[in-house]
Amino acid sequence: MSENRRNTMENRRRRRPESGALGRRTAVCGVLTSLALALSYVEALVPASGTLPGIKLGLANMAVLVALYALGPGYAFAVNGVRILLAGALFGTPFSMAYAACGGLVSFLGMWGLQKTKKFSMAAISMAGGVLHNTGQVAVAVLLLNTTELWSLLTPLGIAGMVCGLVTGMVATLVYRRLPKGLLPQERRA
Amino acid sequence: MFKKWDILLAAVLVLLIGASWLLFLPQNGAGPEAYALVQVNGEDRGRYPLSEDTAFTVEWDGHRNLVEIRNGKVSVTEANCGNGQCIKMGEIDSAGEMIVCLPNKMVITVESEGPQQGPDVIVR
Repeated sequence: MSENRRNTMENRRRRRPESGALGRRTAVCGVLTSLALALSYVEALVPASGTLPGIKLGLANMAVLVALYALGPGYAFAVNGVRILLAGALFGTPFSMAYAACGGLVSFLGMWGLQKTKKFSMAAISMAGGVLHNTGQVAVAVLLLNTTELWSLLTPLGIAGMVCGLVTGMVATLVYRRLPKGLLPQERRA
Repeated sequence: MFKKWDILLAAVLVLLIGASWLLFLPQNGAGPEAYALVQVNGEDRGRYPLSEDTAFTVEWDGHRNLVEIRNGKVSVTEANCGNGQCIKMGEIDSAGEMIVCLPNKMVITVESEGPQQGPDVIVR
C-alpha cells in the first residue's frame, strides 16, 4: 500500500510540470483552432473571384503558422485538420472539403519541412505554403475530373498562392511576435 | 522579418511557376476558327465552333450544365451543381481560357483549330 502510494506520489510529482505545459498547449491549440475556423468563416463571406475559382487569401493559414511555430507540427496539423472538417461541415460542401483537405495536407507537409530546416522566415514559408496549397488543389481537380487540361490553371493559381501566402505570412509574423511572453511553452523566433 | 535564404525559396517558386506556364499554358490568341472543347470526366463531348450561336445541355450522371455560345463567347447559363461557380466564371473567348464545374466534372476549354502554325518565338 505504502509502495503504491509512493508510486502515485512520484508519478504526480514527475508529471505535474509536464502536464501543466500540456494543458497550456492544449488550451492555446484550442484557441488557435477556433481562430482558424473564424478566419475560414470570414473568408467564406468574401465572394469568390468569378474568373478563377480557387483564388483566396488563405487567412486560416495564419493560425496554422502560429501553431506550427508556437506549439509544434502535431498541434499545427490538428488545428488545420479540425478547421477543415468544421469549416467543411458548417459552410462548405463535401467537394470543397475534399479540395481543402488535399491542399491543406500538401501545404502543411511542405511548410513543416521548410520550417525544420530553420533557414527560412515564416513569411517565406507561408508563401511556399500558398503555392503548395493551390498545387495540391489543382492536382485533386485533375484526378477527380480526369482532365489533364486543368494543369494550365497551375500558373495563375501558383502566382496567386505566392502573393496571398506572402501577405498572410507577413501578418502572421507580426501577430506571432506580439503574442504575450509566457503564453506559449516554448519560444521560437519567426 | 525575412531571412537571406528566402530569396532562394522565392526564386525556386518563381521558376516552378514559370515552368508550369511554359509546360501547360496553351497557345494564345484565338483565331476566327476557335472552338469550345467540352469534356466531362475526361471524356470529350464535342467541339463547338465559337462562330455559331448555339445552346446545349451537357448531361452526365444526373449533372446538368446549360452551355451557351453567343457572339463568339462561351458561357454556362444554368447548372445544377449547387455553388454555381461555373456560371459566375462568365464568358470566355480566347484560347486557353476555361470554365470548370468541379461538382459536375465538366470542363470547357477554348482552343484554336489544328496545331499551332509558325514558330513559338522569333529571336532576333
